[in-house]
Amino acid sequence: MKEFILRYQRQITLDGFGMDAQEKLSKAKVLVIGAGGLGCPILQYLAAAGVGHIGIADNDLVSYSNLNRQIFFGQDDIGKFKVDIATLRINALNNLVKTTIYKDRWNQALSIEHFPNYDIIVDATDNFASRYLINDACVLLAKPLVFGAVSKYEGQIAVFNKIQDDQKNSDYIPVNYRDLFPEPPKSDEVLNCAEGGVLGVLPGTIGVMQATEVIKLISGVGEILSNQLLNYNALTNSFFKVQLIKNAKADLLIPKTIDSFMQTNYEQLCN
Amino acid sequence: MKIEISFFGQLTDKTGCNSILMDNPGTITEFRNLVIKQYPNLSNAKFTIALNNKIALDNEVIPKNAKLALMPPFSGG
Repeated sequence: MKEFILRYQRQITLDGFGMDAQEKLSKAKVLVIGAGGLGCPILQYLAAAGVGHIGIADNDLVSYSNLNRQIFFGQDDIGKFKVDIATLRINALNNLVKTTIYKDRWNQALSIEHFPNYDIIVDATDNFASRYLINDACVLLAKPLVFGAVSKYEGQIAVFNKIQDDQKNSDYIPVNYRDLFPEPPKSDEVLNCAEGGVLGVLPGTIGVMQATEVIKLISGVGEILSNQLLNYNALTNSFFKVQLIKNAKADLLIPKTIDSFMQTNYEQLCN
Repeated sequence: MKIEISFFGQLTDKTGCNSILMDNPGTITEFRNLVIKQYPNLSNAKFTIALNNKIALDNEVIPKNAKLALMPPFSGG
Protein backbone atom coordinates (compact mmCIF):
# COMPACT_ATOMS: atom_id res chain seq x y z
CA MET A 1 0.00 0.00 0.00
CA LYS A 2 2.88 2.34 0.82
CA GLU A 3 4.40 1.73 -2.61
CA PHE A 4 1.00 2.37 -4.20
CA ILE A 5 0.67 5.75 -2.45
CA LEU A 6 4.27 6.75 -3.25
CA ARG A 7 4.07 5.70 -6.88
CA TYR A 8 0.88 7.62 -7.64
CA GLN A 9 1.37 10.44 -5.12
CA ARG A 10 1.64 13.18 -7.75
CA GLN A 11 -1.74 12.40 -9.28
CA ILE A 12 -3.52 11.36 -6.05
CA THR A 13 -2.66 14.86 -4.77
CA LEU A 14 -4.46 16.52 -7.68
CA ASP A 15 -7.68 18.39 -6.94
CA GLY A 16 -10.56 16.37 -8.32
CA PHE A 17 -8.48 13.21 -8.74
CA GLY A 18 -7.50 11.71 -5.40
CA MET A 19 -7.48 8.11 -4.18
CA ASP A 20 -10.93 7.55 -5.65
CA ALA A 21 -9.76 8.12 -9.25
CA GLN A 22 -6.57 6.14 -8.62
CA GLU A 23 -8.57 3.14 -7.46
CA LYS A 24 -10.77 3.39 -10.54
CA LEU A 25 -7.61 3.26 -12.68
CA SER A 26 -6.36 0.21 -10.78
CA LYS A 27 -9.61 -1.63 -11.46
CA ALA A 28 -9.81 -0.61 -15.15
CA LYS A 29 -9.21 -2.91 -18.12
CA VAL A 30 -8.08 -1.26 -21.34
CA LEU A 31 -7.31 -2.94 -24.66
CA VAL A 32 -4.81 -1.12 -26.90
CA ILE A 33 -4.85 -2.43 -30.47
CA GLY A 34 -1.60 -1.54 -32.22
CA ALA A 35 1.75 -1.22 -30.42
CA GLY A 36 3.33 1.15 -32.94
CA GLY A 37 3.74 4.92 -33.11
CA LEU A 38 0.49 5.61 -31.27
CA GLY A 39 0.50 2.46 -29.16
CA CYS A 40 3.95 2.96 -27.58
CA PRO A 41 3.18 6.25 -25.77
CA ILE A 42 -0.38 5.12 -24.98
CA LEU A 43 0.89 1.93 -23.32
CA GLN A 44 3.66 3.73 -21.45
CA TYR A 45 1.41 6.37 -19.95
CA LEU A 46 -1.44 3.99 -19.13
CA ALA A 47 1.02 1.68 -17.36
CA ALA A 48 2.71 4.56 -15.54
CA ALA A 49 -0.68 5.96 -14.48
CA GLY A 50 -1.61 2.59 -12.98
CA VAL A 51 -4.32 1.17 -15.27
CA GLY A 52 -4.81 -2.25 -13.66
CA HIS A 53 -5.05 -4.49 -16.70
CA ILE A 54 -3.76 -3.60 -20.17
CA GLY A 55 -4.36 -5.75 -23.25
CA ILE A 56 -1.76 -5.26 -26.00
CA ALA A 57 -2.51 -6.43 -29.54
CA ASP A 58 -0.09 -6.35 -32.47
CA ASN A 59 1.06 -9.01 -34.91
CA ASP A 60 4.11 -7.07 -36.09
CA LEU A 61 7.83 -7.45 -35.47
CA VAL A 62 10.10 -4.50 -34.64
CA SER A 63 11.92 -3.10 -37.70
CA TYR A 64 14.44 -0.28 -38.22
CA SER A 65 11.85 2.00 -39.83
CA ASN A 66 9.82 1.86 -36.58
CA LEU A 67 12.53 3.39 -34.41
CA ASN A 68 11.98 7.08 -35.26
CA ARG A 69 8.67 7.03 -33.37
CA GLN A 70 8.01 3.69 -31.62
CA ILE A 71 9.84 4.59 -28.45
CA PHE A 72 9.38 1.30 -26.58
CA PHE A 73 11.85 -0.35 -28.97
CA GLY A 74 15.60 -0.14 -29.56
CA GLN A 75 17.93 -1.57 -32.20
CA ASP A 76 18.46 -4.71 -30.10
CA ASP A 77 14.74 -5.48 -30.45
CA ILE A 78 14.73 -5.70 -34.27
CA GLY A 79 12.92 -8.83 -35.41
CA LYS A 80 11.18 -9.44 -32.06
CA PHE A 81 7.43 -9.29 -31.51
CA LYS A 82 6.39 -5.77 -30.51
CA VAL A 83 3.95 -7.12 -27.91
CA ASP A 84 6.74 -9.13 -26.21
CA ILE A 85 8.97 -6.07 -25.86
CA ALA A 86 6.05 -3.84 -24.84
CA THR A 87 5.02 -6.20 -22.05
CA LEU A 88 8.64 -6.45 -20.82
CA ARG A 89 8.89 -2.66 -20.68
CA ILE A 90 5.55 -2.34 -18.90
CA ASN A 91 6.54 -4.94 -16.30
CA ALA A 92 9.81 -3.06 -15.70
CA LEU A 93 7.93 0.24 -15.40
CA ASN A 94 5.07 -0.87 -13.16
CA ASN A 95 4.69 -4.38 -11.78
CA LEU A 96 1.25 -3.50 -10.39
CA VAL A 97 -0.07 -3.62 -13.97
CA LYS A 98 -1.26 -6.90 -15.43
CA THR A 99 -0.77 -7.34 -19.18
CA THR A 100 -2.34 -9.70 -21.70
CA ILE A 101 -0.82 -9.96 -25.17
CA TYR A 102 -2.39 -10.85 -28.52
CA LYS A 103 -0.01 -11.74 -31.36
CA ASP A 104 -2.57 -12.30 -34.11
CA ARG A 105 -3.64 -9.62 -36.57
CA TRP A 106 -6.79 -8.21 -34.95
CA ASN A 107 -9.94 -9.66 -36.49
CA GLN A 108 -13.67 -10.10 -35.96
CA ALA A 109 -13.42 -13.30 -33.90
CA LEU A 110 -10.88 -11.75 -31.51
CA SER A 111 -13.15 -8.70 -31.09
CA ILE A 112 -16.19 -10.80 -30.24
CA GLU A 113 -14.20 -12.97 -27.83
CA HIS A 114 -12.17 -10.30 -26.03
CA PHE A 115 -13.93 -6.89 -26.21
CA PRO A 116 -16.42 -7.94 -23.49
CA ASN A 117 -13.46 -8.38 -21.08
CA TYR A 118 -12.37 -4.73 -21.40
CA ASP A 119 -13.90 -1.40 -20.30
CA ILE A 120 -12.34 0.70 -23.06
CA ILE A 121 -10.93 -0.10 -26.50
CA VAL A 122 -8.13 2.06 -27.93
CA ASP A 123 -7.58 2.20 -31.70
CA ALA A 124 -3.86 2.66 -32.30
CA THR A 125 -3.79 0.77 -35.60
CA ASP A 126 -2.32 1.96 -38.90
CA ASN A 127 -4.85 0.92 -41.53
CA PHE A 128 -8.49 1.51 -42.46
CA ALA A 129 -9.50 -2.17 -42.52
CA SER A 130 -8.64 -2.51 -38.80
CA ARG A 131 -10.15 0.87 -37.95
CA TYR A 132 -13.56 0.07 -39.48
CA LEU A 133 -13.54 -3.45 -38.01
CA ILE A 134 -12.79 -2.13 -34.51
CA ASN A 135 -15.37 0.67 -34.83
CA ASP A 136 -18.12 -1.72 -35.91
CA ALA A 137 -17.26 -4.18 -33.12
CA CYS A 138 -17.40 -1.37 -30.54
CA VAL A 139 -20.87 -0.34 -31.78
CA LEU A 140 -22.08 -3.95 -31.81
CA LEU A 141 -20.73 -4.66 -28.31
CA ALA A 142 -21.41 -1.17 -26.83
CA LYS A 143 -17.79 -0.36 -25.95
CA PRO A 144 -16.31 3.16 -25.82
CA LEU A 145 -13.56 3.64 -28.41
CA VAL A 146 -10.66 6.06 -28.03
CA PHE A 147 -9.57 6.83 -31.58
CA GLY A 148 -6.32 8.34 -32.83
CA ALA A 149 -4.78 8.56 -36.30
CA VAL A 150 -1.95 10.44 -37.98
CA SER A 151 -1.01 11.63 -41.45
CA LYS A 152 2.30 13.36 -42.21
CA TYR A 153 2.25 16.36 -39.79
CA GLU A 154 -1.37 16.10 -38.60
CA GLY A 155 -3.34 13.94 -36.21
CA GLN A 156 -6.94 13.27 -35.19
CA ILE A 157 -8.30 12.24 -31.79
CA ALA A 158 -11.88 11.34 -30.81
CA VAL A 159 -13.88 9.34 -28.28
CA PHE A 160 -16.53 7.35 -30.10
CA ASN A 161 -19.51 5.37 -28.90
CA LYS A 162 -19.37 6.67 -25.34
CA ILE A 163 -22.67 5.69 -23.75
CA GLN A 164 -23.77 8.42 -21.34
CA ASP A 165 -23.81 7.20 -17.72
CA ASP A 166 -26.21 9.87 -16.56
CA GLN A 167 -29.21 11.56 -18.14
CA LYS A 168 -27.90 15.12 -17.78
CA ASN A 169 -28.11 15.71 -21.51
CA SER A 170 -31.14 13.92 -22.93
CA ASP A 171 -30.26 14.95 -26.51
CA TYR A 172 -26.99 13.06 -26.36
CA ILE A 173 -26.65 10.20 -28.86
CA PRO A 174 -23.21 8.60 -29.10
CA VAL A 175 -21.56 8.82 -32.52
CA ASN A 176 -19.00 6.49 -34.01
CA TYR A 177 -16.34 6.63 -36.74
CA ARG A 178 -18.84 5.76 -39.48
CA ASP A 179 -20.92 8.83 -38.61
CA LEU A 180 -17.87 10.83 -39.66
CA PHE A 181 -16.74 8.70 -42.62
CA PRO A 182 -19.49 6.13 -43.42
CA GLU A 183 -17.43 4.16 -45.92
CA PRO A 184 -13.68 3.48 -45.93
CA PRO A 185 -11.57 5.14 -48.61
CA LYS A 186 -10.14 2.90 -51.30
CA SER A 187 -6.48 1.95 -50.90
CA ASP A 188 -5.31 4.52 -53.48
CA GLU A 189 -7.29 7.44 -51.99
CA VAL A 190 -5.24 8.05 -48.83
CA LEU A 191 -1.50 7.58 -48.37
CA ASN A 192 -0.43 5.61 -45.30
CA CYS A 193 2.65 6.48 -43.18
CA ALA A 194 4.94 4.25 -45.26
CA GLU A 195 3.93 6.11 -48.44
CA GLY A 196 3.28 9.63 -47.15
CA GLY A 197 5.71 9.70 -44.24
CA VAL A 198 5.09 10.83 -40.66
CA LEU A 199 7.00 13.15 -38.33
CA GLY A 200 8.33 10.82 -35.61
CA VAL A 201 7.15 12.91 -32.67
CA LEU A 202 3.60 13.34 -34.05
CA PRO A 203 2.17 9.92 -33.07
CA GLY A 204 3.75 10.62 -29.67
CA THR A 205 1.66 13.78 -29.31
CA ILE A 206 -1.52 12.09 -30.54
CA GLY A 207 -0.92 8.90 -28.52
CA VAL A 208 -0.41 10.90 -25.33
CA MET A 209 -3.69 12.70 -26.01
CA GLN A 210 -5.44 9.34 -26.49
CA ALA A 211 -3.96 8.12 -23.18
CA THR A 212 -5.25 11.33 -21.56
CA GLU A 213 -8.77 10.64 -22.85
CA VAL A 214 -8.57 7.05 -21.51
CA ILE A 215 -7.50 8.27 -18.06
CA LYS A 216 -10.29 10.88 -18.01
CA LEU A 217 -12.87 8.31 -19.14
CA ILE A 218 -11.89 5.93 -16.35
CA SER A 219 -11.47 8.49 -13.58
CA GLY A 220 -14.42 10.70 -14.53
CA VAL A 221 -12.16 13.75 -14.30
CA GLY A 222 -12.65 16.56 -16.81
CA GLU A 223 -14.40 16.64 -20.18
CA ILE A 224 -13.78 14.04 -22.83
CA LEU A 225 -13.78 14.40 -26.62
CA SER A 226 -17.06 12.53 -26.86
CA ASN A 227 -18.88 13.25 -30.16
CA GLN A 228 -16.03 15.57 -31.11
CA LEU A 229 -13.05 15.28 -33.43
CA LEU A 230 -9.89 17.16 -32.55
CA ASN A 231 -7.39 17.85 -35.33
CA TYR A 232 -3.81 18.82 -34.45
CA ASN A 233 -1.33 20.29 -36.92
CA ALA A 234 2.27 20.05 -35.73
CA LEU A 235 3.54 22.46 -38.43
CA THR A 236 1.27 25.33 -37.43
CA ASN A 237 0.68 24.49 -33.73
CA SER A 238 -3.04 24.61 -34.40
CA PHE A 239 -5.90 22.67 -32.88
CA PHE A 240 -9.27 22.46 -34.63
CA LYS A 241 -12.26 20.89 -32.88
CA VAL A 242 -15.42 19.78 -34.68
CA GLN A 243 -18.77 18.70 -33.23
CA LEU A 244 -19.88 15.38 -34.74
CA ILE A 245 -23.47 14.42 -35.55
CA LYS A 246 -25.30 11.19 -36.34
CA ASN A 247 -25.22 10.20 -40.00
CA ALA A 248 -28.18 8.12 -41.22
CA LYS A 249 -25.89 6.37 -43.72
CA ALA A 250 -23.70 5.03 -40.90
CA ASP A 251 -26.47 2.96 -39.32
CA LEU A 252 -27.17 1.25 -42.64
CA LEU A 253 -23.53 0.20 -43.03
CA ILE A 254 -22.73 -1.15 -39.55
CA PRO A 255 -23.40 -4.90 -39.16
CA LYS A 256 -26.36 -5.38 -36.82
CA THR A 257 -25.60 -8.93 -35.69
CA ILE A 258 -22.51 -10.91 -34.75
CA ASP A 259 -23.15 -13.17 -37.77
CA SER A 260 -23.21 -10.31 -40.27
CA PHE A 261 -20.16 -8.74 -38.58
CA MET A 262 -18.24 -12.02 -38.87
CA GLN A 263 -19.12 -12.21 -42.57
CA THR A 264 -17.99 -8.67 -43.41
CA ASN A 265 -14.73 -8.61 -45.38
CA TYR A 266 -12.97 -5.50 -44.05
CA GLU A 267 -9.83 -5.99 -46.14
CA GLN A 268 -11.95 -5.98 -49.29
CA LEU A 269 -13.89 -2.87 -48.21
CA CYS A 270 -10.62 -0.95 -48.22
CA ASN A 271 -9.23 -2.18 -51.53
CA MET B 1 -19.62 38.32 -48.39
CA LYS B 2 -16.88 35.69 -48.71
CA ILE B 3 -16.74 32.42 -46.84
CA GLU B 4 -13.48 30.92 -45.59
CA ILE B 5 -12.48 27.36 -46.52
CA SER B 6 -9.75 25.35 -44.76
CA PHE B 7 -8.24 22.13 -46.09
CA PHE B 8 -6.83 19.47 -43.75
CA GLY B 9 -4.39 16.59 -44.07
CA GLN B 10 -3.50 15.29 -47.51
CA LEU B 11 -6.22 17.43 -49.13
CA THR B 12 -3.67 20.25 -49.12
CA ASP B 13 -1.55 18.16 -51.55
CA LYS B 14 -4.51 18.24 -53.93
CA THR B 15 -5.37 21.93 -53.52
CA GLY B 16 -1.83 23.26 -53.10
CA CYS B 17 -2.97 25.53 -50.23
CA ASN B 18 -4.31 25.40 -46.65
CA SER B 19 -7.18 27.84 -47.09
CA ILE B 20 -9.08 29.98 -49.60
CA LEU B 21 -11.87 32.55 -49.68
CA MET B 22 -14.91 31.91 -51.86
CA ASP B 23 -18.27 33.53 -52.66
CA ASN B 24 -21.06 31.88 -50.68
CA PRO B 25 -22.64 29.30 -53.06
CA GLY B 26 -25.77 28.82 -50.87
CA THR B 27 -25.85 25.24 -49.58
CA ILE B 28 -23.33 22.56 -48.65
CA THR B 29 -24.21 20.50 -51.76
CA GLU B 30 -23.61 23.51 -53.99
CA PHE B 31 -20.38 24.22 -52.15
CA ARG B 32 -19.17 20.63 -52.63
CA ASN B 33 -19.81 20.85 -56.39
CA LEU B 34 -18.08 24.21 -56.65
CA VAL B 35 -14.97 23.26 -54.68
CA ILE B 36 -14.53 20.08 -56.76
CA LYS B 37 -14.93 22.18 -59.94
CA GLN B 38 -12.21 24.51 -58.68
CA TYR B 39 -9.95 21.63 -57.55
CA PRO B 40 -10.74 18.60 -59.77
CA ASN B 41 -8.21 16.50 -57.80
CA LEU B 42 -10.68 16.52 -54.90
CA SER B 43 -13.20 14.49 -56.91
CA ASN B 44 -11.50 11.21 -55.94
CA ALA B 45 -10.75 12.25 -52.35
CA LYS B 46 -12.77 11.27 -49.31
CA PHE B 47 -13.61 14.12 -46.93
CA THR B 48 -16.29 15.40 -44.62
CA ILE B 49 -17.35 19.05 -44.46
CA ALA B 50 -17.61 21.01 -41.22
CA LEU B 51 -19.59 24.25 -41.11
CA ASN B 52 -18.63 26.58 -38.25
CA ASN B 53 -17.00 23.70 -36.32
CA LYS B 54 -19.88 21.25 -36.73
CA ILE B 55 -20.28 18.47 -39.30
CA ALA B 56 -22.63 19.82 -41.98
CA LEU B 57 -25.66 18.22 -43.65
CA ASP B 58 -25.86 18.31 -47.46
CA ASN B 59 -28.95 20.51 -47.60
CA GLU B 60 -27.70 22.91 -44.95
CA VAL B 61 -27.71 26.62 -45.88
CA ILE B 62 -24.34 28.32 -45.48
CA PRO B 63 -24.73 31.48 -43.37
CA LYS B 64 -22.83 34.78 -43.83
CA ASN B 65 -19.18 34.77 -42.75
CA ALA B 66 -19.21 30.98 -42.50
CA LYS B 67 -16.04 28.99 -41.95
CA LEU B 68 -15.94 25.67 -43.73
CA ALA B 69 -13.42 22.87 -43.22
CA LEU B 70 -12.72 19.89 -45.47
CA MET B 71 -11.46 17.01 -43.32
CA PRO B 72 -10.16 13.71 -44.73
CA PRO B 73 -9.78 10.41 -42.85
CA PHE B 74 -6.28 9.57 -41.55
CA SER B 75 -5.13 5.97 -41.35
CA GLY B 76 -1.62 6.19 -39.90
CA GLY B 77 -0.60 5.05 -36.47
